[in-house]
Formats: sequence, structure tokens, C-alpha cells
Amino acid sequence: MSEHVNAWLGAYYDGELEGRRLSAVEKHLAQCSSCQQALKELKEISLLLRSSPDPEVTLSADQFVAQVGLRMSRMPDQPLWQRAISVGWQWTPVGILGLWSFLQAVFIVAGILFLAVNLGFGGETLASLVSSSQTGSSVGDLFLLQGESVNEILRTGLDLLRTGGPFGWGLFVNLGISVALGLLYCSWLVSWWIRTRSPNHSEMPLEMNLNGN
Amino acid sequence: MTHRANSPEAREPELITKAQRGDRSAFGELVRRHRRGVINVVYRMCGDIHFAEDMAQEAFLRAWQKLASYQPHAPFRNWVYRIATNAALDVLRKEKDFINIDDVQLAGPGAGPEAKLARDELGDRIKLAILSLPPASRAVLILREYEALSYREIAETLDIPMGTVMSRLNFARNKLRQLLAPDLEER
Repeated sequence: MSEHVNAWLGAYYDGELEGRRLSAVEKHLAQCSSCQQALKELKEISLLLRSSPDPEVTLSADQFVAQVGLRMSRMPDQPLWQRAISVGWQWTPVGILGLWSFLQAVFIVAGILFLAVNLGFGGETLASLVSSSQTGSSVGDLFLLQGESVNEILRTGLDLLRTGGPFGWGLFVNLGISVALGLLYCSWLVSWWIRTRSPNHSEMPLEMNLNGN
Repeated sequence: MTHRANSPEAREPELITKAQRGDRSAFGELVRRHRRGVINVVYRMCGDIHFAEDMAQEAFLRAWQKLASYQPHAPFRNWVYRIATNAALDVLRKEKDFINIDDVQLAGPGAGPEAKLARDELGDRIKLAILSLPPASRAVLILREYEALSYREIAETLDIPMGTVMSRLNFARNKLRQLLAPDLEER
């Protein structure tokens, strides 16, 4: 006779065995009265346990659901990435307004700068800076920077500042950027309005559904 | 419309999706459906119906907070059982004297909501026998015998290997067979 299978009897009784293990246990049980007895006791203990009644609860279903509802936060916690998106979404209008303000400041400063140069104010340093940006000479030297790529970047930046002033075609660039940012802001407003119309947003009821219908 | 969509007939995955979007009514329906099972599991773990109801509420609150992290590959019921069982095990580990067997034995007729249960002597003996098991084995036994979870589900619920489920269940059943031997002979 093969070895006793007591260690596997519980899993066998629970229907958790399969394949060769199941076959081996079944084969052993067919010829071992000791293991048959152990299996019988296992069934009896299981039946005895299940004869124990469920406890009598003190709260009705409605009371229980209501008490949970009272202690629930307004919304479930969100994962970090969702919270980051949510915060980003809320701060989008501020970002748009900030970007617009920054660009306006840049355009105004650039306009004043080039107006000052054209009127002969600002001394040689400012004039050489503007002059170098116009001629493509070594602007990087002014900032103790080396290399053609640095000069190119600085020259392009100064060109943009120059043409972006309120007295050149930069006025149209300014207007275009303002309109684009305005459209972006309007899109955000429309999305916000759609979100607030959603039944799962802030309009949802605070109380739980007590009746279940 | 929301109420009708969250009716008792509504499918559980729909309720979960709605609840994950913040629909409290949908979550309320989930609580209603699984309340009894969660209370039963905690009650079998600790033997105190008031504690079981409090802990079940706590489990549902934690489930609500963590709902975004719920993955539907496991049944919602098992997920809440996991939260409730872990919460109960935490309490039982921290407060080793939480279960006073003498108190449970002395609970007799007229002792409150448990009076009817206390009158059932066999029920009391079974309850005491289960409470005398180590909490880890007790949890496995309860999930198997009373909630009929498979070994794999128990392993996932308690975050333990399948082999551990089997060994703890064997230990618990052997121990109960000794403790309840007189009752087994009577049957």
C-alpha cells in the first residue's frame, strides 16, 4: 500500500486537487480504511462548522449603508498620476494667463529696448548688443560664451525681440499669440462646463441610495 | 435615473465603474450587497458582533478610498474581504487580549443581540473552538468553510502562497477535530 495521504485529504475534500495528485489520492483512498476514516471525519467537521448560524446583526442594511455613507469622503482617493492631471487641469487657466502676461511683458520690454536704441539712449553696450544681433557677430562674447551655436541662438532670440515689438510686424505676432491663447482658454472653459454637467461630478448626491431603487 | 441604474439588479462591474468615478450611490449598492459577508467574516474572526459591524464599516471606508486601485481581475467581494480580514488581523495582533474566551463563554440569555446565539450551546462551542485557533489559521478556515473561497482566492485575499493556505487549513481542521470531538461523536 502507498503512503497515507492525510496531508492531501483536505485539498481533496475541497476539490482542489487535479491531475496525477488527484489520481494518486483516489487510488490510495480506495484501499486505505484509515484515510477513508480521516476523510469522513473531515466531512463531519466541515458540516459541523457550517451548522453554526450566521450572527444576528444589530444594524439593518439601510442603517449600515447610511452609516458608511456618513463617514465616506466626497470622492475616492485618486492615484498620484490622476491627482497630478487633476491639479494641472485646475491650474490650466492660471498657466494660460501667466504665459500671456509673460509674452506681453517680453514684447513691451523689447519694444522699449529697441525704441531706446533708435532714439540713441542706452549707451554703447545696448547698441552693440542690438547691432551684433543684427549683424550676426559674436554676441556670445558679451556673455563670455563661445561657439557658433551659442551666437546663433542669442542672435535669433534678439531678432525675435526686435521684430516682436509693438512698432513692427511683431504686433501681428503678438495678436496671433493672444488669439491662440484666448482660444485655448475658451476651450478649457467649454471642457469645464461639460465636466460640471456630468452626473458624476459635483452634482452627485451626497447621501447614499438607501432604498436601493 | 441614477437610482434606477444603481438598482439591486444592476451588474456589479457597472456599479464598480460608477463608484470609481465617484458615484456614492453605486458604492452604496455595493456595500448593501457585500455587507453581510464582510460582517460574517469579521465576526467569525473576533466573536463580537459590534466590533464586526464597526470593522466592516471601516473596511468599506478603506475600500472607497482605495477604489481607484481596485483591479477587476479579482471579484470585488474578495477584495473587500481582504481589506476586512487584514484590518481584523491587525487589531487582533495589536490587542492580543482582544478575545477573552471567558467573556464569550459567559454570554448568556438576555445578554443583548447575541442572546439567541448564546442559547445555542453547540453554536457557542463551535464559536469558541474557532476563536481558540491562531488568527492566521482562523482567517483561512473562515474564508474556506463559511465563504467558500477557493484556495487560490484565499491565497490572493490573504496574500500568502497556496501551500500555506493548505497547511493552515489542515492545521485548523485537525485542531477543531480535537476540540469538537464530543460533538462529532454525537452526530
